[in-house]
Amino acid sequence: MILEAIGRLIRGSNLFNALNTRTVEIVLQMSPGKPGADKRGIKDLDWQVSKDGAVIQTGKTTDDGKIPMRVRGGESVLQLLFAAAVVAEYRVRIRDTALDAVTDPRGQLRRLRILGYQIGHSGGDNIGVDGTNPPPALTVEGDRSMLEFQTDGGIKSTGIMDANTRTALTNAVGA
Amino acid sequence: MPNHEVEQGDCISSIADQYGFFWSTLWNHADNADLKQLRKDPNALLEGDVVVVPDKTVKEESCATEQKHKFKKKGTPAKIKLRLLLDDEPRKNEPFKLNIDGKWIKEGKTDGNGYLEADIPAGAKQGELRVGSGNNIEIFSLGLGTLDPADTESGVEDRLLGLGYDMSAGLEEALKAFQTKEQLQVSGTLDDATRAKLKERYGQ
Repeated sequence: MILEAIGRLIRGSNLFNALNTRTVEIVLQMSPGKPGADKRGIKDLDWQVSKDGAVIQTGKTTDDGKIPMRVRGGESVLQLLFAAAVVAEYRVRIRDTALDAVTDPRGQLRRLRILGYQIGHSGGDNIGVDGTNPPPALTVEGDRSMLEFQTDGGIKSTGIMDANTRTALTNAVGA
Repeated sequence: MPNHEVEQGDCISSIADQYGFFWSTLWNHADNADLKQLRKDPNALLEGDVVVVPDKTVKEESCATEQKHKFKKKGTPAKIKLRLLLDDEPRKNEPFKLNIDGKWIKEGKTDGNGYLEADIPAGAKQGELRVGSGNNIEIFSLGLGTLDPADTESGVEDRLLGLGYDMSAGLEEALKAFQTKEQLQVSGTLDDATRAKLKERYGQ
């Protein structure tokens, strides 16, 4: 188990050790799309957060499926429980770096994934399922995730990443 | 005159306690002048540092026979002082419980700026801090005396982690994130301004 590094201090010292916990809002949904819409949230689900093997936070999802997850030292683990047994586990890391731009196919791919859309191959062979394909070929245009996102958002389902779709994608993710 | 090689978890208080000295006696001893010069801050020593432990001097007391005499051993406990933050905001008046090496030694509330402080035995190694109440308890495992000096790379990492930065992409990325947040020049390197800000934010 990794411990927080803490300095013992001599008496009378004015120094201290800061321990900053950061919260990330996780939303558990039954189907992909913008959080909060159409009652997609999974409610009343027990969850716990652990850090280096020790449980640091426990709770139940709210009606909209939200979890105010506490993350320390950049990374914690979120576990979902059913009948007190862990049924799913996610490693959650806080990224301080900005997402790739929404004009960049990598940025588009990441946003679709964040919203829970499954990236498929319906639009041809050039789709980097996890962004690991060589960049020149990478595109999400025509992919089923895009078509679904456009349908869900009431945008004409063209499969083309036009300005409207990019704006909708940025708004849905909030970044 | 034995030398004590610093191991992870040692600090000047724990070393002094081990050999029966006040920490200031060791720190201010002429033979430790180089170490004092190098580390400047007695609170953080690095693994491998050498602390010279002087021979003990004998103190003589004359006492009448056939009587009881009380001698009191003076001790200087160390302390820990923590500042608890949630998303960079102080966690004010939050109930906490502190366990040191298996014993619950303090219960209370953080102050209006999120600080809590407790005297601990100089050689204390591990702590468990529970913050919050009821179902909403957050647990911190504390490695006492394991914070490396601010001018070492591991010490910088310790501080960034304490402040909640992600180290998984490496030190440079974490420094950039810190510099961006603190509105410093974003270089990804540890310049003087960054070091000073990091010490200020972490508290040492």
